[in-house]
This record gives sequence, structure tokens and C-alpha cells, in this order.
Amino acid sequence: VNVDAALIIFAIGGLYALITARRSSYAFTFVASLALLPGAVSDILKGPQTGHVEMLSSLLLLLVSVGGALLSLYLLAYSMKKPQRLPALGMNGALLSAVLLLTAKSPEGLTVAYELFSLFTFAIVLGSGTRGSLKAARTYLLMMQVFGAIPLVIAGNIPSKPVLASALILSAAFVRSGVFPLHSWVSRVYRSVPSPFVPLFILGEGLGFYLLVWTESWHPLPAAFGYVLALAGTVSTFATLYSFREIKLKRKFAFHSVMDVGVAYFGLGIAVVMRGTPAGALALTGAVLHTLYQMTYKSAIFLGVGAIEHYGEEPNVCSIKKLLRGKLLYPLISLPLSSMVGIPPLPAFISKLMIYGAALESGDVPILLMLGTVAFLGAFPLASLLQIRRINRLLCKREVERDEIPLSIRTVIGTAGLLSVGMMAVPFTVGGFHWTLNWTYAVSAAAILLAALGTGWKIGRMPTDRVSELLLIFYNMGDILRLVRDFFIETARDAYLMHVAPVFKEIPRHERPLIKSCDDAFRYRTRHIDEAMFMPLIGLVARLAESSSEKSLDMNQLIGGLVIALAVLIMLLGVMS
Amino acid sequence: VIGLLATLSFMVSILGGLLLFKLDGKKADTVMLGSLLAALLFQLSTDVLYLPDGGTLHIVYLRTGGLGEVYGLIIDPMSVLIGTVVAVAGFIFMLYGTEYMSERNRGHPVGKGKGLFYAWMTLFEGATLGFIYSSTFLGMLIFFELMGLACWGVVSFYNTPESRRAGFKAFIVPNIGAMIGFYTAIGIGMTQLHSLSLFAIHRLPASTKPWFFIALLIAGYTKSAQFPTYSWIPDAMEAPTPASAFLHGAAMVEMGVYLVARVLQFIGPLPTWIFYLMAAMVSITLAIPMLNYPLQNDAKRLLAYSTVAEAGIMFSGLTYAALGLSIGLKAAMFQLTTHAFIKGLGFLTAGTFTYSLGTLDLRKIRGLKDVLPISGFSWGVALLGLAGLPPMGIAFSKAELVKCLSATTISPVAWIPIAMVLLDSAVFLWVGLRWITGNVFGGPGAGRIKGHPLLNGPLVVLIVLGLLSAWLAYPLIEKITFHGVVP
Repeated sequence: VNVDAALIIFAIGGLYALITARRSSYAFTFVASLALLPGAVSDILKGPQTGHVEMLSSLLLLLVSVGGALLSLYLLAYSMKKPQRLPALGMNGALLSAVLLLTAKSPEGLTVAYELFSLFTFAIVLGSGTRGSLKAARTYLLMMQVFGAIPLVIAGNIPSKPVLASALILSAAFVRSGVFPLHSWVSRVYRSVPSPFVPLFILGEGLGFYLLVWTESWHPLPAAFGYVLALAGTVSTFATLYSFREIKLKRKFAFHSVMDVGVAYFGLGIAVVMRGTPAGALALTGAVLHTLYQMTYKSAIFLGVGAIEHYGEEPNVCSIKKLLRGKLLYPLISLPLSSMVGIPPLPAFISKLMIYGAALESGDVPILLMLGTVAFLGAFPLASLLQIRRINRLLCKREVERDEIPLSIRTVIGTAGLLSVGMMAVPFTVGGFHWTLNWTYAVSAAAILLAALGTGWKIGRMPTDRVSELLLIFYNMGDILRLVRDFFIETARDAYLMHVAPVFKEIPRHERPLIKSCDDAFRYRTRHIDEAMFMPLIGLVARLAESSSEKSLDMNQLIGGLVIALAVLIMLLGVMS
Repeated sequence: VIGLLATLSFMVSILGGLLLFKLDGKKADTVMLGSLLAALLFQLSTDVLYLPDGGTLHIVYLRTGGLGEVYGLIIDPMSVLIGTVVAVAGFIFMLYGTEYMSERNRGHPVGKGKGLFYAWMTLFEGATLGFIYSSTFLGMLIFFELMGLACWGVVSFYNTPESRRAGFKAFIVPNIGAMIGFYTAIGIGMTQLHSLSLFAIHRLPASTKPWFFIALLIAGYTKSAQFPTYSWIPDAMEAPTPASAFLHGAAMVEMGVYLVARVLQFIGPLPTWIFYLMAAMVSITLAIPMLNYPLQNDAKRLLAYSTVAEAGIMFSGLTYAALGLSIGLKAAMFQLTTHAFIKGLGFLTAGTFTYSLGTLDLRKIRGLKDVLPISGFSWGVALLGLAGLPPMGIAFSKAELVKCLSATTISPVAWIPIAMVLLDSAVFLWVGLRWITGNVFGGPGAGRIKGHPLLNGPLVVLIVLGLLSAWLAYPLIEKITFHGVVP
């Protein structure tokens, strides 16, 4: 009943936003989110009926509920230059679809909810009206459709091909979660949308993870796919290197986001490879917790960044001063940041401890190699934060005025910060997660994590140029991948313009090299490749008409003749009968 | 009574159409809307009487010794559903047409002479409804030709050299198909079956069936602008926009699909090579619009190529139906239903560009969200809907088609049409997003233009119908199946 009521209120809120374009539509979001709360809490307190999927669903619903309520309070006070029509519609719609996805009982329902979520979040990007937002919106929806919805629709309908179905579901989960190689939308979208809307996309990352866990519980993925998951997760953690060299905060945290999701997928990969073993159970719990934790602390961070945008400033390493001047806000925003870098005993440390412990316990060589990579890259979030502080002190001499951030925004940021730490209690207070932690592996994992922090501390204090030089090989690898992708896209476009466009447009041969885009081809006449079959006939009739006494094309007369011929034919048929 | 109501639904339009040839001005508006409203009411009354019992009702009007059944009606889930779609869409499009065909239209101001256009359009709807309910090939032929004639009338209405050429092409191409298909069917019916009824064709010898079917398939392909006869439909864009909406959304193109679906319902088992043939044809057809989308900057031409693809999607469903999968038949009719409203929305929105901005060149249309907000919104909804995105009903009909993947257990070729359908959706989305972001959100646009309620009202109604069509149609879609013998 609560879920149904929430869905209806979200829908009304969306319609209200569409019609009125008023900020007050967030009030509907607030009420609908609260309506979800009793059901989610009661489900969690009852404990899992069927296993970890149900518990994960309840926990995510709880996050949707609390997060939706906090976001709507924040947005009611948040200043946006553009009309609220599409963002508010998108927000209500995205939360509605998230609830549908989390309560879906069939693959069809899940697919529809997945598509709706993509569509409504697309509306947010489209309506944000920032520089580059239109392009980001196009890329986002196209990727979600091509790599997400379409594979999901196929996967739900192919008979008895588990490997193919698994691959298709993996694609849908990867693109939703922004995992390598389908991560390219993340930084573009996060940069384009106002920061308070980013938590909705972070929720989407969690939904991608949920999709995999949901599928895994119905049709276990083949073990080989575990390695694919772990490898994709590992490669995704390289995003932290890109984060390191960014000075714009939204892009910086977007790359961190890719890394965090990568860690969760690495854990899920271990769980699939080691299914049925204690290491597998531990890895699954670690992956689930890391997903939940990173959703909360990253959301809190982006809400903090939104406070800078509220005053029309670009969030970067200098304008962050504005945020850090608040006496209460500073420690509260530091909590999720500390959690992100993995400072013990904050949430990310706990979840990573489980994932690393499971990797060590698995004893599987490829997994151990991947662990080495993930652990090394785990040093960079701290380095990145120290770098912000260092650059800020060195370069940002301008004193910022202490603007008073509205109380509701400060309250939401603070609550989100506290919540990101409070989430740590989840595994200890709710049932449904089963694991045993071997102390030997736990101590080793903790040592790795602390060593990573130590390394991060050292890197963070080094000059950025020096670190960038050391990391050049990784940046070059990323550039090579991007250039290869661009090469294929450009080759396909050139081949289309050179060889296909002239088939459908009457482009003179000597002008073909001048056609550099589809826009250049618009001015030429369309060529129909089937006309050759019928043109002689049409030409013959036209000549007949022209040769008549009036010397003009009297189509009425022609058609009249044809109609009479037809009538005669029908009469003949009647006579024959 | 149901038979009488169904007959009245098309007769009233045909008679209204004939009367309209002599009328113009306000009188023409009244008679046209009156005829179409009456047709709609008769159709809805048919639905009300039909829905509680369902089943198949076969009413014979004329029977002779030599030809068996010469003319009659079939009232079944398929004819009732598609008849309703045609009557509802036709009325909405022409309600919009009363304002579109006015002197206030910047792109195509119409003074006197709109009565002729109304006459052809009303006749068009009557012929389409008559075709839908016909139970014999002779009845189908008559209405098929009437549709072709009306199509010529509306396409060449503006009487420019381009429109005359396009009108003639739109008349000749489907006529060639009709000659091949219907005359073969009637010939075989007269000589071998001694009946022209659809109910008799399952008695055909197994050796004759494939050729009989292929002849009618050619008729369907030409009517639905499928490869190799697709180009008459982009050229038919010379027609006034309400006619384009009807031609693409609910009548001409869809009736080719309907014809083949009807034949598949009755013909019985077909050899597997028919499936391969249809799969090849539909795949080639789907490739053509995909390659053409990026090169189109005219709103109506873009939508026209999308029609070729959407009809191809319907034919994909029928391709699987030729293998004996009733889900293919359902998917085709489902797609026909949902597509009618979303394509109508696309065309009527394009019509508002002509009416208010005087252009269909998408490069010149910017900032619709400020200039024409309702048109901007409906343009976005139409293009995203045609790309198969929910919550528009067309997304669900496309998803229904994907269920035909169960045929991959029979032949791996079954992957190809569905893969092409999904690829078409992706390419259209790519192109559509480019135009949505440019036309609706690109700026700066001119100052806000006040829309006319008779133009905006139908757009809003079509958005709602586009959303609800899947839900409303599904109970009838579920009942569509083969009559008697499963192919």
C-alpha cells in the first residue's frame, strides 16, 4: 500500500512539474519519499524472507526514501537559473522508476523500470541547460538504450542461451553503473547536471549493481563471468588517476565514482568466481556494503558541492573554500570525504576490508593480481584530497566571502554526512548478510588498506607535475583507448558519407570529398534506389498525358479513365459469377 | 446489429465523401466532421456490442453459385481493433485539419477548395474501414482501389508539379501490387476454390498456397512501401499534413500489413522458405530508412522514412507469423495500433511547424520550448516514442515483437529481423535526439507564438492515446490468432 501510494504521489508530482514548472513539485517528492519509509523500515526489521536480494532491495528502498526526502528539501531551497520543469519531472520520475525497479518481480517489469529510469534521468540532463548538457544528454540516453535497455529486452526473451543472456545483462548493468568500458557518460553527465541531481545518477549506479545481484539470484552467472566482472571492476578503478589530475570538483568526484563502483564490481566478481565458499559470501557482502556506502558518502559530497553552485560559482579547488568556512559544515562534509578515501573505521574501510579479505582468502592468482592493482590505486583518493588542499593553499589567494548557505541546505548536507557514517551500522543491525571473517586475512587486508593510505599520503604531498609524469604511462593508455574509439567512429562516419550517402543523395562525384558531415549532404536531392523500376511506367503515362490535345498534364482525366476501367473489370467479374 | 453498425461505419464516410465533392467552406467542415464523427460513433457502438462476447462473426451479404461468397464482413478482434484505430485517428486528424486547411496556415494557406480535400479524406477513411471489415478478395480489391484513388486525390491536392508526380506515383505503385495480388487471388478463387472468401483459402492445394500468398504479399509490400517499392511514401509528403498523418499512421501503409495479416490468419501452413523470403525482404527494407535517417532535414520526410521502417517492423511480426507463431501476428497488430497514434502525433506536430513557422526544414526550427511549447513537447515525445522508448505504448509493442525470438530455436535466421528492428530503433534514437536537442532546446528561438486550440488539442489527445494505446488495445490483441488452421 505504501509503495502504491508513493508511486501515485511521485506520478502526480511529475505531472505537476510538467504542467506548472514550479519548484513546489518537490513537495510531492518529499511526501512520496516519506510514504515509502514505513514499508522499507518494516521490511528491514522483519529480516530477509528469501535472502540477500530482498534485503538489498529493502535497503535500497530505504535509501530512495531517505535520499528522496533529503533531496527534495534541499531542492526546495536551491537556486537554479533554468525552469524546473524537466529537472523536477525527471526527479519524480526517476524515483518512481527506481521504486518500480526495486519492487519488480519479473524481467519484463525490471526492463520497463530500467528504461523509465534512463528516460527520466535523461530529462534531468536535458533540462539542466548547462554548457554541454545537450550533448551529454544525447550520449547518455543513447548509451543507456544501446547498451542497456536493448540488451535487457533481448536477454529476457532468448530461449536457452545462458551465456549470451548473461553477457547482455552484464552490458546493461555495466552501462547503468558506469563501469569500464561503458563509463564514458559518467563524467560528462555529472559535470552537466546541477550537483543536487547527481545523487539520482549515483542511485542509478546502485540499481545497475542490484540488477546483477537480482539476476544472479535467479540464474547464476557462469564462473567465467566472475572474472569478467572482477576485471571490469579493476580497470574501472584506474579512473582514480584521472580524478587526481582534475581541478574541477564535479569531474574529480565523478571519476572517483567510477572507481568506487569498480571496487564493488571487483567484489561481486570474486563472489561469482568463489560462489558457495566462505570467501564468496564475504566478497558478496563486501560488494553490497560498498555499493550502499559509496552511494551515501558520494551523495553527501555532491550535495556539499551543490552548495557552491547555489551561489553560481563553478565548484573547483578554489571555490571549495566557500564550503569549508562553515564551522559545523566543515566537519560534517569531511565525514563522507574521509569515508571515500578509506580512513578507518569509516564505512569504505569496512567494505574494502571484506572485499580485500575475500580476495586474499580465494587464493586465486588472477584475483590476487587484480587485488594488487585495486589496492595500489586505492592510494589515490587520499592523494587527490591532499592535492586539493595543497593547490588551494598555493594558488587560491582570493578570499571568499562567507555566504550564508540556507538552513535547509546545510541541514541536508549535514544529515547526509552523518548518514554516510551511520550506514556503517547496516551489517551489524540487519540480517540477510552472511559472512565469516578469517582474522589472518582480515589483518592482511587491513595492512594493505593502511599501506595504501600511507602511499596516498606521500603521493598527495608530492608536486602534481611529478606525479603526473610518473603516471604518464597510465594516462597514455587511456588516451590510446579513447583515440582507438574515436578512430572507429570517424572511420565509420567517413565511410558512410563517402560510400552510402551518394547512394541516397544525388551528390556529384567531384563534390563527394567536400562532404564532411550529414549537414553538408542535406542540400542535395534525394535519390530513390527503387525508382528505376517504376519511372519508365510513370514516364510513359506522363508522356501520354502530355500528348493529349490540351498539352497539359490532366491527371483528373487520367485517373477518371483508370477508375472507369476498374469499374468495367469489376462488372465483368460480376457477369462471370 | 453489429454487422449493420460496422457497415454504417464505412458507408457513412463513403457517402459523406461523395457529398463533399460538391461542398466547400463551413458547410464542408460540418459535413466532413459530421461524417467522420458518425463513423466513429458507429465504430464505437460496434465495439461496445462486440466486446462482451468476442469471437468471430462472419456476415455474408452476397453469395453466388459460381463465386461462392462475393461480399461479406468479418467482425473479429483484429477488424474491431484496427477499425477503431482508424476511426479514432481519422477523426482526430481531420479535426486538426479544419484549422490546418485555413488561410491562417503560414506554409500552406488554403482559401477555397478545401471541400475537395475533405471529400478525398472522408472517402479514404470509408474505404479503409470497408477494407478492414471485408471478408472476400473482391470486397478488399474494391476498397483497396478506392484507397489508392483517395490517396492520389490527397497527395496531388496542392496541384504543384511535385505533388502531381507524387500523387501519380502513390497511385500507380500500389496498383501494380493490387493487380498482381488481388487478381491472382480472385483468379485462383474463381477457378480452384469457387469462392472469393478468406474462409475458403485454407482449402488451396499445398503447391498453390505459397504462390497465392506471395502474390498477395506483393500487394501488401507495395501498399506498405516496403522494398523494392518504398519511395512513393517519402514522395507522398506533398500531401497536406493531416492526410500524411492518416496515410502513414492509420490507413494506406498499415492496410498492406493488415492484408498480409488477414491472409496469414486464414491460409494455413506455409513452407519455411516463405519465412526466409520475408525475413530477407524485411531486413533489406529496414536497412533503407536506417541509412536514410541521417540525411533527412525535412520533418515530414524523416517521419516518412520512419514509416517505411515501422511498417517493416509490422512485417517482421508477420514474418514470424508465417512460421506459425501467433505472437508474431499479435505483435504486428499491436505495433500497428500503437504506431498509429505516435506517428499521427509526429505528423501533426510537423504540421504545426508549417502552420506557425512556415517551414519543415529542421535546421531552421530552434527553441521550440519557448516558441511553441506544446509542439516542442509533442515533437520530443513523438521522436522518442518512434525510437521505442517507454512510457509510450509503441515501446511495449516493439517489446512484444522481441518475444518472437523463440523462433531462433527453429532457425538462427530468426535473429536477423529482430536485430534489424532493434538497430533501426537505435539509429532513429540517435538521429531523433539530435533533432530534439536542436529543435526543442537549441536556441535562441523567436518570440512565443500562440498556438491554436484546434491544433494543440489533438496533439495533447494523441500524447494521451500514445501513452494509453498499449493498455487499451492489449485485451483485443491477446485474442488475435489464426482462424482454424495454424500455419
